[in-house]
Amino acid sequence: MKFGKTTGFLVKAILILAISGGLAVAFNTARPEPYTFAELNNPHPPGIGEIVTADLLEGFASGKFFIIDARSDMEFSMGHVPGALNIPSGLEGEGFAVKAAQVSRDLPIVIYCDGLACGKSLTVAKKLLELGFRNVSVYTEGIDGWLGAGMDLEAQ
Amino acid sequence: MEFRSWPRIILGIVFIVASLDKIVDPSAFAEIIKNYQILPEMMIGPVAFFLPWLEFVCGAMLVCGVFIDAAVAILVAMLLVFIAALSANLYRGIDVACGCFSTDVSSASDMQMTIVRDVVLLVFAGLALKFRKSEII
Repeated sequence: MKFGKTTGFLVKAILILAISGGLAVAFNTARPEPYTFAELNNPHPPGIGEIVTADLLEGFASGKFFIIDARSDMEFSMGHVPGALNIPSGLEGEGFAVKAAQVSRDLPIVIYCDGLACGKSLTVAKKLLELGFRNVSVYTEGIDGWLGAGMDLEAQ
Repeated sequence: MEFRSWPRIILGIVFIVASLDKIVDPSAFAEIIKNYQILPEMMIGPVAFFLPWLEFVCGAMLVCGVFIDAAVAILVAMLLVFIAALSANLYRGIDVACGCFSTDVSSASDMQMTIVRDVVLLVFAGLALKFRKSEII
């Protein structure tokens, strides 16, 4: 009887763990840019700053930031922060290097994507660091934060 | 609804609410875990990936009244780990964002109050388990 109770308890616990794992994998797979364990193991490496909407608005008004949009070409063409350069996070190797060559090495770099659930800006930030860029920050609130502040988008 | 159901429902709702921000932004949650300086780097990703969903599923089980004993046992184990982690950082003088209900790294948290809150949740877990047999589900 005792063995039966213990077994039942263990089966339930294993079921809960399995359901949780399944949901975690399914939800992550459904993200536009799924996270990998490697990304999460080193979520915010040293050298990547973070700015909030107020900082971006101030820097945008004075033109002191170089702004990068880390979303796809299509998302960028539908609307982006005025003056931003599009470097899709999926770009690798030479394709990324060609885009990165257009990035200013004099101005602080700010990278954004959709919003809080989006990891694309961090991906691009890490790649830029690998190419020797410094003073790189991500704007985590992304397009959602920009629109929330009442700012307009520029369409291509 | 019976009074005896309230502890498990409240506990379930608390864990569901606590999981949402972390589910949406596991990267920010991973950063908070990293700031705790307790887990080795290779463990940060899997924990940030699975833990929020484990909180959510256990919370949902409690609200629905399914697998109550196993869900409470897992939540108690999690609460004990949280209390140990918070206590370790309190002892070492490392002041980090709690990561309990929000993934805002800059949000200040009173660790002592957080430990007290976790102990209160442990009491709720005990009540949920105690009243489980008398509930008709």
